Formats: sequence, C-alpha cells, structure tokens
Amino acid sequence: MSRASVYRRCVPALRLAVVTSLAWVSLVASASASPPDLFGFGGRTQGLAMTGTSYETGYEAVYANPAGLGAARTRNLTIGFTGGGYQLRLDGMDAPLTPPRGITIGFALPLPFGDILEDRLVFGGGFYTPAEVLLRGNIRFPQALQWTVLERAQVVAILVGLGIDLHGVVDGLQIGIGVNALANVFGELAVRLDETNSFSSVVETQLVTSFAPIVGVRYEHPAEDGARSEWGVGLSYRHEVTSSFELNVATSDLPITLPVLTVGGLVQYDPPTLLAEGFWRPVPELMLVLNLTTRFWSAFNGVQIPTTAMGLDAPDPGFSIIPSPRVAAEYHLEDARFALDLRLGYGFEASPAPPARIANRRTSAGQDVPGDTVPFRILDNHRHVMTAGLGWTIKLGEHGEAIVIDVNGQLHVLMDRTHEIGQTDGAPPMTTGGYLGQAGWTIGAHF
Amino acid sequence: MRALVPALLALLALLAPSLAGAQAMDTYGMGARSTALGGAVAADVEDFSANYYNPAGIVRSGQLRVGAGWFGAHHDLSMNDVASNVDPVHGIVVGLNVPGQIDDFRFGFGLGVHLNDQRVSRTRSLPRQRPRWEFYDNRPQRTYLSTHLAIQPWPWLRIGGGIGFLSYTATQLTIRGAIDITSPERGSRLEHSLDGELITIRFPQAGVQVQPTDWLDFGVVYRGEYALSNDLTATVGTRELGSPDSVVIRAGDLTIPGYLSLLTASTNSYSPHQFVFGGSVRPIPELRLSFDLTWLLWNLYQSPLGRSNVELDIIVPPELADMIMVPDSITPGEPVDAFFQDRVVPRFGVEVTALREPDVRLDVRAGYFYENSPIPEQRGYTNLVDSDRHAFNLGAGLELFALRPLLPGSLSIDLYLQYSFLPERAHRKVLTVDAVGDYVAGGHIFAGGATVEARFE
Repeated sequence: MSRASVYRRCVPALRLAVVTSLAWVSLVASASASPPDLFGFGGRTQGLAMTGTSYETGYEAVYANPAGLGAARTRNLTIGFTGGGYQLRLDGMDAPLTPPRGITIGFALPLPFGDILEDRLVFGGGFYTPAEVLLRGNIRFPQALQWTVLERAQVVAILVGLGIDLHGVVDGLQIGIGVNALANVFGELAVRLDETNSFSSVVETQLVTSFAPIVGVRYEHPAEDGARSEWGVGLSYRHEVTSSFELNVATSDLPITLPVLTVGGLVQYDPPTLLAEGFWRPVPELMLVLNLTTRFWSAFNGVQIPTTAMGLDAPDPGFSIIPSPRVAAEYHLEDARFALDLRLGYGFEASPAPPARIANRRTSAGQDVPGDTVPFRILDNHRHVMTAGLGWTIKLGEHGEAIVIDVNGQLHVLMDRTHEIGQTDGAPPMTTGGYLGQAGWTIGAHF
Repeated sequence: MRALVPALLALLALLAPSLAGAQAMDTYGMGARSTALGGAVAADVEDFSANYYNPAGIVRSGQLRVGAGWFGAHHDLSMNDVASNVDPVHGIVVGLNVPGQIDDFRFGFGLGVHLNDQRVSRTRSLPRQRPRWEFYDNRPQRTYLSTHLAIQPWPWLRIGGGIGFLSYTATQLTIRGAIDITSPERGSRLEHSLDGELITIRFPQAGVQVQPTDWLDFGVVYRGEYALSNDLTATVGTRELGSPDSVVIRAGDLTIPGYLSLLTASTNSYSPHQFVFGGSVRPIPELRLSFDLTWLLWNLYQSPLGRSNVELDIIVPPELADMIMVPDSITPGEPVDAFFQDRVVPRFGVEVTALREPDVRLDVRAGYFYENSPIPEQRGYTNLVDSDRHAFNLGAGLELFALRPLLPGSLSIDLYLQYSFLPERAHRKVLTVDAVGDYVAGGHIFAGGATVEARFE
C-alpha cells in the first residue's frame, strides 16, 4: 500500500479522533484537574493504575521513572486534558470540595549526538497546569473540617528529566534523574497609619523555587529487533515536594501594638515516595504489571504554622508510612497501520491519616503541650482505585512517525470510616466516604 | 493530511501553555545574538530566542537547537544625584527548538526560559508617594517560561504561537485569639487560617515570518496584554461578641473585644499589547541589516497605585484611654490613574561575517534601540520615575563545525554587551509643598551575557 493511500485512510480516523477528543473535553469540562500524586501523570499510565516505573519510555517517565526516558528513540510531543469529580460524603451529606481540572503537556527529546553518545541521552519534560489556578493553598484552623490528602489537587507541576541508556555497558539498563519544581511564596507586609490617619502599606512577595529530585533505574530484558521485551523491572524515588506560603505582617503607629504576625503554612505537600515495579509479557500482546508504591507520609509535619513567635502550633498530624500495591494489564493489537492498546488497573491507597480526634497542641518547637487539647478534624479514607484506558496509534512513517491518542478513566471508591469525634464539639462521631472520578485524554505526535 | 496536520497543530498551539511574564525580556532581551542585534530580529530569528522574539522562527532552520546561557544587568540610576539602589538582575537563559517533519510538512516545538537566579518573581506594592523606577525597580524580577508551536505550510511562510499563562495572588486571611498589649510578642496567643490562590490568567502570543527571497525577510509579532494584581483581605477578630473567631485585647486584668478589617488591592505587573513589525535584508552573504518597530499600547496601563481600606473597631474603656488611641476615621486609599502614553520603539541591527572557513565562522554584531518614556512628568503626588532610553549593543558569535562525530552539526558561542543611557529628566511639582519635591532622574544600565547553542543536523 502506498504512503498516500495510508494517509487517505488515516484522515477519517484522525478526524474522528479529534472530534472524539473534543467531545471528551466537553464531558469532563464540568469536573476539575488532577495532580500527579493523586491520579498519576500522563494518558497511558493513568489508565494502568498509576504505574509505569518499569515500562514507560515516553514523556510520562519524567514522573514515573526518568530512567525510562533513556529508551526513547523518537521525539514526541503530547498534550492533553484531565478532569475529575468529587462525590465526598460526610455523615451521609455531600461534602463539597473543588475537584481538579487541567492541561497536561509532555515531551521526550532524544539528543542526536554521535560516537559514544549515540542513542545515549534523552531529555524529557512534563507540565501539568490547573485550569483556574496555578496553586491553591488553604490553611485552616485545626478544628475545621479539612481533607488534607485529597485537597492537594490545585497545583502546577513542572517536571524535567534526563534518561541515560547504558547500552554497551549493560544492554537494557537505563538510569535517570529529574526534578519536580514547585514555588514557595514568601512576603512581608508592613502596615502603618501616617500622621494624617491615612493607611499606608508596603507589600513585597517573592516566589522562590524549590526542587525535588527524582532518580530511577530500569532494566528491560533485551529483545530481538522489532520484538517487545519479555520482562523488565524499575525502581524510582521521588523526594518530597513542598510549597510554603509565609507572609510576615508588621504593624506600626496603630492604636495598639501588635506582635509580628506570621501567616501561611505548608500549602502543598507530596511525601517522599519509593516505587518498585516489574512487568512481564507471557505472550507478546499482553503486559502484566505489578507495582508497590510506598509513600513516607511520616515526614509530614502538618500544614499550620504558629502565628506569633511564642504562639502554639496545631497538633501533630500523626501520618504513617503507607505502601500502596497496584496491578495493571495492557493488551496490544497491531497491524501495519494502526495499533490499539486496552488497559485496566487496580490499586489500593490506604489512608496515611489517623481518624479525626482530640489532640494536643504543639509548641513552635514541635513538642506537645500537655493539657492543651483541640479537636483536630483531618478527614481521609482508604481508597480502592480502579482504572481503565485505551490507546490508539496511527502509524505515519517507517521511522516511528505516529499520532498517539490515549484516553483513560479512574474511579476511587472511599471506604467508609468512622472518626473519633463529630463535626462539631459534642456531636456524635462522624462518618466519611464517597467517590472520586477522573478522566482524561492526550494526543501526541511521534516524529 | 496536509490540511489536517496544521489544524491539529493549531489546536495544540491554542492549548500550549507558557508562564510568560516578559518584562525582563522586553527590557534586556533574550539570547546573546538577538540582544547584540538590538532585538531587531523578528523577521529572521531562528535560535531559541525565537520563543520570545517571534515564535514562527522556531521552525525556520529545521535543526534541533539546544542552548543555555547567562545574563546580568546592573543599574546605575539616580534621583537628584542620589543613587536609587535599583536591584541588579541576573540569571540564566535556556531554550530549545525541536523540529519535526511528516511527509513534506514541517513543524516545530520550542521552549524558552529566562530564570532569575535569586527568585522566580517578586511583587512589590509601595506607598503611593514613594518614588520607584517603574520599569526597572521590580518589573524585571520575573521568570519567563514559554512553550510554542510553529508550522511552515509553505517554504516562504512560517506561523507560530501559543497561549501565555501567568498568575496573580489573592489571599484571604483570618486571625483570632488574644493580643496582650503589655507584652505583645510573648503574651499574645493568636492563630490564623488562610485561603491563598495563584489565579491563572491567559494571553496570546503569535508571530509570522515571510521570506519572499533568500535574502529578504519580514516578520510580524503580537504579544497580548496582561495585568497581575495582588489582593489581600485580612480579618482580625469579628464584630460578634463571644464568637470563636473573636479577638480580645488584654491589658492586665482588662479584656476588650477588637475588630480589624484590612483590604489592599493593586496591580503589580502590567504588560501592554505589543505589535512588532520587522524586516531584514542580506545584500551580500557576509552582511545582514535589520530593522524592527515595536508599538506598545501603554495608554491602557492600569496604575500600580491601588486601593486600600482599613476598618478598626475597638471600644476603649477609660482605664486604657492613654494606652490605646483609636483615630476617629482612617482615610482609605483610592486608585490613581497613571496617564501613560503609547511607546514606539525602533530597533536596528547589523551583523557582519568576519571569518568564514569550513570549520569555523565568526560574526560581529551591533545594535541600537530607542525607548521613549511612556510616563508623563510626575507633577502630582505620585512618583513613577522613568526617562527615555538609548541602548547600544555589541556582540560576537563563533560557530564551530568540526565536532563530528560527537556532534553532527555545530556549536556556537555568542557574547554581547549592552550599554543604556537614560538622559536626565526633570519632574517639577505643581504644589510647592510636596513630600518628595522636584527632582531630576537619569542614569545608566550595563548589561551583558553569553550563550552556547548546539545545533544538530
């Protein structure tokens, strides 16, 4: 078949794909955006239970395991949209929480050096931009109801990575390094009344970047030319990602003397995470994936900070280290012009948070204050995560040129949980549960 | 297929995001070659600085280009011969142009970053009378990160663009607890809650390059307008007695309820609509001449002098009348129009190939641009300081071709120096009694930088 006739046959299919993609946008547009830690990153791995540490070699590897970038041999540029919907329940009533919605962009760029660097270095990037805000941070009083884990959904993600293929040293072995960048906001507000009773202020805020490293290693059993690897393993570590907001408020010449106020806190936190994963193809068309993602939530120190130098802090959140097992399967169908991938996945996300409870406040140094207790209403539940996805590849050339369209959906079922205290002081213990939904699409060009 | 791929790329371009606060680029330029040419490159730019100067240029060379560099600028600005101590700006620039081709249809993806090494960005709101160099004091303190897509539907036409994303802050703050006015730092016991958002705004960036012959180029660029505000609403206590969110003021055994509401809202960063028209010509292969004209619609400027309001509600018992002096009223701050005028910036560039050998090429460059000040004379109580600017640029570029087999292409090293002269400008106040008074402002800006770019065939 000639290339021209292949193109002619592709046109209706591609047009249908674009129309379908736009329809998908309109379907999820009433929902909101999903950040990588809650729902994964990228059109393929989100449909495979947020795995990818062992098998992903496209732009999604910048988050799953940057070592995977080292195996990329074609440039690719991908863009897509994800949205979610929350149906959280508190004592049988709806508990409104702004769901996520945003744009995903990714690219993988093999650097075409020659000699010993030939097919050696691949640079990749991934960006997630929430639709309405780049960052939303809520610091609440400890007594207030707060979904600390699920509410981390409104933040930009900027990921870059470099994959290095060690072929010639150990064929099939890749290592990678990347960073996840996030902004911290620091500022000062000086307030005074002048001699004419006019309000006067000087406000200065700065955005300072913090970088969280991502490192990984991956081995894929070498296969015959053109064949798919039979098995592979990957190990990756993502350091904690934090974003702080801290504004110092100093007043002068006011009717009363106020202390210097420090307002803000930790508005975004992803814990240190260790990912171990393997894939196996019992037949060339079927890939089975087993993943264990361990989040070190014990490093989380809470979002609140003391308002004054000698003020008290909120109680210790008491979060735990949580392993999350995940399994996934991908079935691959292919002919000369098209390829189709069917994806399913399941994961169990245990809650790192203890139930809402009465807890001791802490000093600014982090020590409990005996006898000074406060209701501490952090809400979170264990989740069963079920995922599905579909990948459609339209081949356009002999050197890997292709258009790839991925769609995916996730359903998170929150297991009902009864807490130690109620919604208000003196109320009976509250119960939480509900559902999270997420869907998305990406479309990418390989060239 | 030829019709469909451009449509698909156009869709992607509409979605392609940038964090593109371009004031630093507007002031100091991007990339050593383009800056050395005075920024007169809209017609034929093709290195990674195309991500700022004209995104259509991303697709021009058809080469994968990866570049990085350093820049710095030092301000020697003064008022009445007293140094204004405007902060220097320095950091790194990084960019890449990634070409692609399906059949004979050419497209490209570009990424450009200008990252100050001290901070991503800084916003600053000052009292309205305090003098500030409006274009140099705080505006360059911002990161530029952009991604663009470009297509070449015909060999003589290139089109590129993207949507820029920026954000502004909106913060709501609630404070409650007890304030000890006899020992405020040690005795006060306050806690707070906060809702803070970096809210997204979008603006378009687009460009076209037309190349009717191999020695003549034209370019048109549009950069959209944006304004970033900085809103803060703070509430200390409530007017409801006994509320859990109340604030009490303690002085010994006395406690009195208090309430303070504070609002500040100002525009911290504004960039106007910009239209760039450029042309370049190569009368002989060793000589390139270029001219750009940039029209900036500063008349739409939203003043940085925002509004503020304070409500204070404290009923002071007679025993504390000597300690707490509550004013009868507090005058709110109101926005003040700035009355800026449009700015038209001419730019000129000259590039001469001084050496051309099979393994090496050396180019020398010069450029000039003139920026008239859009700010009127400051005759009232505002003091947005500025002056006209003459910028003189020199640079050189060395391109090495003999790096095979490691680098199948070339490596270029470019340097530039920029000197800006701001002639003294007098501001005479209408009122003889003014906190700042008449002044003369002017000075110099020194900038420089270097970039290294690898080009892969």
